[in-house]
Amino acid sequence: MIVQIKGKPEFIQIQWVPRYTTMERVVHWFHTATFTLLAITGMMLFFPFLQPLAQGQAGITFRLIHRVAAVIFGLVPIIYLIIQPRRFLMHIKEFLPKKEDIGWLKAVPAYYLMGKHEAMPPQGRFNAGEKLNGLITIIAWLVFGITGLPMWFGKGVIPPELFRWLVIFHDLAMIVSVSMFLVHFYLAVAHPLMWGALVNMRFGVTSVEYLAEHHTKWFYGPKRAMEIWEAKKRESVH
Amino acid sequence: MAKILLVDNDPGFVNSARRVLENKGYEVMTAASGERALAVMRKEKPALVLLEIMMSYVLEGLDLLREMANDPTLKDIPVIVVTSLKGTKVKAAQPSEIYAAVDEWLQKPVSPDQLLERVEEMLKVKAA
Amino acid sequence: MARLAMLIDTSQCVACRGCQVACKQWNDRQGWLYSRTRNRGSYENPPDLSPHTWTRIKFTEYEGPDGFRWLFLKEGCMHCGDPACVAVCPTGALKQHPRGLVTYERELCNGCGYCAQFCPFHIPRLEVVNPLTGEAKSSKCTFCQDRVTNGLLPACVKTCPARALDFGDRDEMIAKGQARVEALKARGYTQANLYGVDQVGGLGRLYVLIAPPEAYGLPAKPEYPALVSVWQKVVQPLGGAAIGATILGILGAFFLARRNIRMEEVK
Repeated sequence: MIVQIKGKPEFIQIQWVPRYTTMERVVHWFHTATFTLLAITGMMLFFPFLQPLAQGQAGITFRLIHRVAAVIFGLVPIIYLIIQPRRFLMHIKEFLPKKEDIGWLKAVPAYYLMGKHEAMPPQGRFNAGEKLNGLITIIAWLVFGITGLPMWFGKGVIPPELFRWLVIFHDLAMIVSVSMFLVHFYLAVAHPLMWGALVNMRFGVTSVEYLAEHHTKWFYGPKRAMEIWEAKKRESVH
Repeated sequence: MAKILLVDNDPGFVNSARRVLENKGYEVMTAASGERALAVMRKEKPALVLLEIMMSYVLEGLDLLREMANDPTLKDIPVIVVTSLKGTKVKAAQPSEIYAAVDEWLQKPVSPDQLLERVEEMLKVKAA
Repeated sequence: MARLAMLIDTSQCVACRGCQVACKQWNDRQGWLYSRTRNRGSYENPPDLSPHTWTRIKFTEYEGPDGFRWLFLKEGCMHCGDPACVAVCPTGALKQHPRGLVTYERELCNGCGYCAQFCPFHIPRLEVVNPLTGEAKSSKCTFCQDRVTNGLLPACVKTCPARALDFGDRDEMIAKGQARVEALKARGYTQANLYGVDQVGGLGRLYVLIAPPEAYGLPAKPEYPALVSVWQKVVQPLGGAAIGATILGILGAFFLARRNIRMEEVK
């Protein structure tokens, strides 16, 4: 993609588009590291086959790691909110589901399993799957915090009957978010079509080609993106 | 003094750029989208446009440039692009690859001095 | 081998609290930690179970249909037939012995505290080394697991001068308890009852009571917490299944995608 400078024999070539701000990337990687630690140390208390890891001094140490990671896990998004409140709120808004996201859901088997590009409606900066991941991450963060903090500080303060419910919800949030993480990991790292994703999260920029293909609505704008999709669908029929 | 239209949806940049320009005596109008910018331009005829490219979608600023180029009343308004989009200078290009044309390209972050200098320069050149 | 149980005849207890002392002596518990003697307006001491008090006599003044009574209850782990603490313990530190007692291995405990939160009788006490890091160990009566598995009686039973405590085959203890209840009723203790026969899978700690359980502060209908079943029998297996299914699904999707999407098509 080229922009011409009038009156000069100069051209500007646009190859890389900034997609993730530094803050977004920092928050993401801190979240990755802490979530992984929390999931592993937490699952030791959840799955009976991991019982040996949970025992004795090792168990006490892993519980400590869980708590240290939990503090960082909890603080990083709050630091984002404090430092860049406007961007933070805009960011959250981007994850809210819209009616058109159903189109993405319907296209999943054809696109991700069969590679049929024309099946996928134009996507914004975050495609509907990324939005789902973001939403689940945010909700899980809230549930982990709301259940986890009393589990840590509330023993003997909150009634045991309440504590028991907190454990259940802490576990449910883990099951949902770990499953989501596994899918997220696969799509970000291993899926043949999603090659641009990891580059993006590491360096903050995506190539123009990747955006034009995968995030047409964000790249070309909603009107033009629809036109391109209609043309692609017509082409594939022939 | 001259009227300048600032097109950008980042309130942080708009506020600081506006302050810098108004301190120098320029009259500053703002628009946060390509559509709004067109409406303001047609009404007010700014002497210069400072344009961010990435707004609600990546190419929004470039699409505005194309609209302006197709409109005889707007095509002569000078545009300085001030953008977070990363561009590299190249010497030559195929005509088919050219998406739009602009008078100048500034990469964000841009210092107040640099901004004022380029604005002054462009107004002087266009006045001549 | 047959299930063991302790029979506590509260009608014989004189609240000498020799059992409290014997327990601390045998299990090497501290005398003063958590329970520095203070005049709290009652002879009862310590005021609660703690990591260093695994059994204690609870004093209650009771006005019943038969007149005024002092009720003495020897508190401690109930050694349930259906122990919730064993079900929720993530390290296996708490186990149900084949002879019925709920045993505890301190080296395995990681201090999570689930046992204390899920026990229907609120018995286990957490000895917290550091509240911030969570380093802790659980603590409760073990029926003197080391004595009992070597043919000896628990320390409290051996020492009781009023012969209010007995320990042995559970069916025998139940029969003895029931006989005692009948004898008490005949003597005018109209509210005499045997507690622990059927609750929570049948308790290992049986009480001959001379007033309703609530008068002693015992739950009339203790239950294995439903959430334990939900947690251990539903959430855990489903969680494992969900995550396992996700992994399998991803592997399947990967191979499908690899087959259908040729890399030359992808830029």
